[in-house]
Amino acid sequence: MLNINIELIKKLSEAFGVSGRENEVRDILRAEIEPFCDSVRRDPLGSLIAEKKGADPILLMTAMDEPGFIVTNVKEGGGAFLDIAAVGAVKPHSVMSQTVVVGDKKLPGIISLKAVHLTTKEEREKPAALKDLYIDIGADKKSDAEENVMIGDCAAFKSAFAELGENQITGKALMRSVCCAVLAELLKRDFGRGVTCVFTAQKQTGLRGSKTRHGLDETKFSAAVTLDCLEDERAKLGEGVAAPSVIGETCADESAVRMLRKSAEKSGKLIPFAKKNSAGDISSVSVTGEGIRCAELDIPIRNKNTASEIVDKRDIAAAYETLTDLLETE
Amino acid sequence: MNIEDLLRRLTEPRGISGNESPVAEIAEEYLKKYCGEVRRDRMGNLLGIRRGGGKSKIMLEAHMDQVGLIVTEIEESGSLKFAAVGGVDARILPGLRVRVYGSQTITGVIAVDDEAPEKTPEIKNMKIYIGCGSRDEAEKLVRVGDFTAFDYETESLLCGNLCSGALDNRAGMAAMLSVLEKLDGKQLGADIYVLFSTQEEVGLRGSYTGAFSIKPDIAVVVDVTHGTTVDSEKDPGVFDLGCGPVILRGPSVDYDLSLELIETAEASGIPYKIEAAGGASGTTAWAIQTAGEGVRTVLISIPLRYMHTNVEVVKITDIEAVAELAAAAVEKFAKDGESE
Repeated sequence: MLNINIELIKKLSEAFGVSGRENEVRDILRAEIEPFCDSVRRDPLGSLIAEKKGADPILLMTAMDEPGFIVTNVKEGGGAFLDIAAVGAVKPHSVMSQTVVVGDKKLPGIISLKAVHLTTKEEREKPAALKDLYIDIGADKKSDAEENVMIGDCAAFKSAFAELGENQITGKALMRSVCCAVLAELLKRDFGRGVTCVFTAQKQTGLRGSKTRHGLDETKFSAAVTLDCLEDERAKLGEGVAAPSVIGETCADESAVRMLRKSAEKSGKLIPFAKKNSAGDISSVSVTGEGIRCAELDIPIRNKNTASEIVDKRDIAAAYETLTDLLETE
Repeated sequence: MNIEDLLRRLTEPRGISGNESPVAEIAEEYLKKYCGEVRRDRMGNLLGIRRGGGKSKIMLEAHMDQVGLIVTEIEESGSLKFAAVGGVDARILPGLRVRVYGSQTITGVIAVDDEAPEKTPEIKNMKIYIGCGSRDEAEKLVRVGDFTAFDYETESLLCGNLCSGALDNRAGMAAMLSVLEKLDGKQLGADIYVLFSTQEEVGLRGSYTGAFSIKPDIAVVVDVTHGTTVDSEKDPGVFDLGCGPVILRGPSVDYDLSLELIETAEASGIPYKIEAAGGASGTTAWAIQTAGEGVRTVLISIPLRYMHTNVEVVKITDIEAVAELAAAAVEKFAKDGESE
């Protein structure tokens, strides 16, 4: 049996958590971890901070938001349709024909363009741009749409969590779901030391959740680890976890990287990986206040930021085991 | 008959062109309620016969297949290469969830390698991930030639609009079953033949043999046409959802019969629109006209948005109005057939 809480991952994946509207995800996490923590609170931006008191505390951090859309306009023409803009890193070429839910009412809709039969060759050959795509909620008139949706409402992918073969899982927002679930499961255990977990808001909109102080005294942490996902052909699904030395523009603390790699190697689940192209929460955490010795642990992912992200269950377990070893031995 | 409930049942089975039997099985249950004889033919067509006075033969036809994909290669990595069956819009495929009908039904996800392509990726550069890490593993579940369908669910939208895959042409099938319900118990001089045909999406194929063996005097075809969206408002040949039946005029249908259909709509107080096609209508009406000795054919269409995707949208009241018009037309044609 793998050390993963698949039910929690499913619940998190199917929850609404577009950047700036992470309340559902926050509520699920709070209910899950509260009985095991000394304190659980949210900061003004929306991040969730969970503390287990004890000596020599370690800081763990991961994001809880997901990419999505924001309604910018209602337009009429053979019905009423919603113009949208991106919230975070959506991939415009992979959103056409996806189902979504809009706003707190979770109104069902679809992201569309006119049928292919009606397009010119030029229109067909160009990947769809978000400025052309719209959401169809079935409204006949502008007033039908406006009774149900406000400009500024967010929309999230609506795709069911599913098992993909024996080892893999697929769903929307899997990136935050697997990372948050790993930290939540760690909080349920007693490591005989302090553990603080920060589940950050608004990573998608510019790593913003990791920029606030979270009411923490960074000087008391001996080290911090950010947990994230990595899409790179060298990081194959099912082969374990990576601890890159460089994440975007940020150099991880070398001793912290070595410590993480050592823990991952014990279960033979370390993917050798030096430099990750995209930036992460580590860029802020490492320079918070006086600074924290910080490294990043990554779980391989495919189809990142789409409605069907893919992660391997064995890699999620490897992340859990790596962090468990780190908390037990370092 | 509740059209929405019926559509939810009819859209659930996937019937990619070439293997429509999952759809035929469900449709057969409904046909048996109204038809004394129900059978399938060599092309997989599903046929229901409701005997009347035998004075004439009227055929109600809707195709039952849907577009989809087919597995063409199993890669060393365990992922699948595929081709389209029928007209599939490549733009919708990246990131789409599918069901591969292998030795069991397998969930798959379509992926493209390119992070931000400048051109729409071609199907040959896409693959389906099924969670297998090697060809050996994948070959235990999938064979080259296995059909693959979009993984949609039927969803109610605002204003009585319904979203699902395969509404092209389960909407037409639903209308035909509703016609049978409306005619149930009525004495008609004509025998009614219902043909749910196969392989429309790959060349109107089932309807050729189906119409040949039935040899109807008149055929009433129901299919879908393009529903208006904000970006197709100015295009010709698009119809607002809610406009009612769309009646075709042009060489793809019988000139006089299509005028009679228009008169029937007016006499019955059913709002309708007229679509004009200078040649092929892109529907089985085109094939049925030339089957056997030739068949006098009319076409009624249901407006539908996003044709050939996993998220087609129709308005339930349009399907009800199409059924109402088709039933009225059958009664009229049957009556005319008695005096001829």
